Amino acid sequence: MITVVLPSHLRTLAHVSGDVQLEVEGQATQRSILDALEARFPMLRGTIRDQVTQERRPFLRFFACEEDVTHEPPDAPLPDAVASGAEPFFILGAIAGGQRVAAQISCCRKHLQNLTDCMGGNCNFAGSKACG
Amino acid sequence: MSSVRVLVGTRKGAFVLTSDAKRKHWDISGPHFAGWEIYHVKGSPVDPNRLYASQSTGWFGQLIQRSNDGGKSWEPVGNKFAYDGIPGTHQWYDGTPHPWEFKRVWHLEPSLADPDTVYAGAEDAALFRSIDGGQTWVELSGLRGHGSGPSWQPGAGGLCLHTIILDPSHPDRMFVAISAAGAFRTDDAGKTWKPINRGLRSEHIPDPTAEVGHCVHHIAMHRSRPDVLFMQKHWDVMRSDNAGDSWQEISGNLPTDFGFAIDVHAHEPETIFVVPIKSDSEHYPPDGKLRVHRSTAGGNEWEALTNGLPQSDCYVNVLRDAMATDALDSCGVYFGTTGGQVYASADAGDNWTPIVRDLPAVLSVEVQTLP
Repeated sequence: MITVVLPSHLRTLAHVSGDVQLEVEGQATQRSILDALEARFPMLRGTIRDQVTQERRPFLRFFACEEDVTHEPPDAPLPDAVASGAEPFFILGAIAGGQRVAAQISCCRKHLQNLTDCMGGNCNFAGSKACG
Repeated sequence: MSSVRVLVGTRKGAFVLTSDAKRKHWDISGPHFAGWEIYHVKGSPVDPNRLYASQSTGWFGQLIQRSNDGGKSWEPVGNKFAYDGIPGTHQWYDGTPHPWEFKRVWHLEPSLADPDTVYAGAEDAALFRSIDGGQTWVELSGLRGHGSGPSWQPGAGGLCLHTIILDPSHPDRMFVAISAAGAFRTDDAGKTWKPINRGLRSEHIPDPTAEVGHCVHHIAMHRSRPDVLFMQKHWDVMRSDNAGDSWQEISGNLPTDFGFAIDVHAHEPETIFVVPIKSDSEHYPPDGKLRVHRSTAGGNEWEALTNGLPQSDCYVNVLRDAMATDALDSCGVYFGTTGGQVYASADAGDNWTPIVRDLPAVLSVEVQTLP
């Protein structure tokens, strides 16, 4: 099972309250994850990638294992830790630049905080400079 | 007893305002689709509980939502808006060719006869139609392909098809307006189109009387006289008595003839309403006074309607799709502002009251008169 973390608006749209667990056929790639995600939640079609061109929407970014994989080819294999479900695949609305987002992911992982909650101001690790 | 439902689209969600026919006490539900831009919400004339909403953000793109219970619950339907064939280019602001790219739906116009048929006006300008309740969309590409499409340029808000008017007397006739291309008409259900801009004059374009290139902000029609159209252009308020074949200016004594919204009284087809805005560089009412202007003579002679509206320090805008009328015996008039107020008048504009004061910026207002 692969874990996908959706932005808050897409969780609302998909009627899910937390991270999404997906069975993905074949290799874990951006494309295979998004195919599985859209098959299970048809209402997400067009919200992450354009339905005509299949290109990632320009204000969205993808992270895995604290790395920005946004610009990796859609069929490139994702890290084994994502494929095994040990690490989630993050879909994020770009907000304030990559360094901050990467720092927030690192902070969230360190403190076992859901990134979307963190970025929504709900991080309970008050001492974090990264999330500050 | 009759009632009224006001459908409000805002920068951060949709709201549904309901009242009985007295229009004094209002229930407000929302925000629906909280945090998303709702450019437009409109109900089917033949099934008032069937609503369509255009939901979008820059992050997640376009969604279309449908309700079958008057806005109590919603379901996302189809959101694949693919231009027909190779889209080609239109002109960019600087005159260079720019690829046609779908951005959002500005306006949804349900059919007058079938609740499952609905039209969508898109940016970059195109007209789409669904005949299955919004599940699938097909472009009526004769509009972009009629010849002038490559010369269309965006207005300040983008190259948007924002007005769709269905002719109740001629089922195959339809009018659309595009900023900043102008107005167009089809007489064969969208297969072929022609520009209907003769008589418009726009000093800010190289040829002020060009066949296309005019920044039409909105058009309104009274269903009893579908050949009579009223237009708020970028500058100038205009009128056509021949289904758009020619236009005459009716700005008359307006304090400024710039503006966005225009609408027609439900029972008096010569009574029209506009909200003058100072200028294209200062999008707020002149002198900080929010005034609706009404003409009972089909234009040229206008009176300012101010009772209940702020007459000092008011610097909001009223956008093109943010005015509507109800069909009760005493015609109600409604408009929303970029300051988040929705004002209502239950007496054709003589007196105004805010239904709600502190919504997000209002993008659109539609009204349903319910039996």
